[in-house]
Amino acid sequence: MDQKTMKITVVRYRPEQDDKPWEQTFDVPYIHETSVLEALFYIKDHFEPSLSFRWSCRMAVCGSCGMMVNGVPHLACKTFLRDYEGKDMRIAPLDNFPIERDLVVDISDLIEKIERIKPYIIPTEKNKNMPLTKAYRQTPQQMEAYRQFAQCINCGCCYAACPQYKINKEFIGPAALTLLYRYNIDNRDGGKALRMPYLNAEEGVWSCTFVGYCSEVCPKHVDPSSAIQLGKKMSATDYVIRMFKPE
Amino acid sequence: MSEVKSYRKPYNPPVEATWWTKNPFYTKYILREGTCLCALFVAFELLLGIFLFAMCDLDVEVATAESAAPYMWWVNSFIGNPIVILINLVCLGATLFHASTWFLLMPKAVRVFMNKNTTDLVPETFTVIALYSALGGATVVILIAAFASLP
Repeated sequence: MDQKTMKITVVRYRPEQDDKPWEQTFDVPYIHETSVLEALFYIKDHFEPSLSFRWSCRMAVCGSCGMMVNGVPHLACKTFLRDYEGKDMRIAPLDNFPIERDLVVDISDLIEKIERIKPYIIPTEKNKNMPLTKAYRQTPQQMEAYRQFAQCINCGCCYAACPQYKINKEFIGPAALTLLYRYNIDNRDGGKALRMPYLNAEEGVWSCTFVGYCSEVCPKHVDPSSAIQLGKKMSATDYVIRMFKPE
Repeated sequence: MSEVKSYRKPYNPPVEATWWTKNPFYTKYILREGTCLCALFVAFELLLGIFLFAMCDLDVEVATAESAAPYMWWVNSFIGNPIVILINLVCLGATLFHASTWFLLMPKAVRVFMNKNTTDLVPETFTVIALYSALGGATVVILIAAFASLP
């Protein structure tokens, strides 16, 4: 097996003794298949047992291991050392979130925002008492309309990539706005009226300036910036309609 | 109440004023948005022209050098100034750069199916080509109108 070594710098922060983050560098051996997550396991097993980081599924499904690799948000399990060959690597906690310990950040703001926009199907009056097989049937096109936006795993990479969220924590942000749009265009859903105030708000889609980096870094190719621009269209249409047809 | 002492002390990294220089993607974004300064310059330039035109003596039957003096100063000395020409060329470049980035981003705001039954979306290149065609068409129309109105 062709084994090489990479210099990996990891940002450390231990709240009980440190006032601010500092860096620690390790020489980590790797092969073609070594992911950043496995490199972190190696560091924890061989050099620094106290190193903290989040992980669970190891296969880009759970969204736990989002972190900054050389300044770019990535899932550690889906990023491979081979792609950084000949370079040094710097692993840091996700940007734009409070650092809890080492590579662990506090994403409760993201979770609260996702909860706020009601990310679930709210039945219409007509569908309320209908059997599931009747009320919730969809054509392939009706599903395709939102399918891409439903792939979000809440890893927070898009929030780490968003300069608007960086300077304004009120901004609902890419993932939550994408989910909002995803449920609004779902033909089975009847909750659009409940979600529109969040979409239309100052901290909703209009706080986005279409930087587009969220779509660039999204590990699941959800394309949040697309959902937000489509959300702006929805918000503008809603505004015009309500001018002529007040509730 | 838990008896365990909490060591929680979340660290909030400060936002540096130079954040946009750390990543080429952000730098390009700031450049893209920075082209608004060029739009601002051109807007003031045209506003000045209109203002000076209004200052001309518009009551005379045939315009003379004297009656049209303010406007002619704008034509000859202001927009004819080599520095202003240079700034305008930079502004043209900046506007074209802004337009090209905007055209590339436009497909994200267009999510339309090819027809009623398919799951195929209108390809991104369609949207981009349509935008460039519209730009080309508008440019040709404006140029024809401009040259046709020459005395």
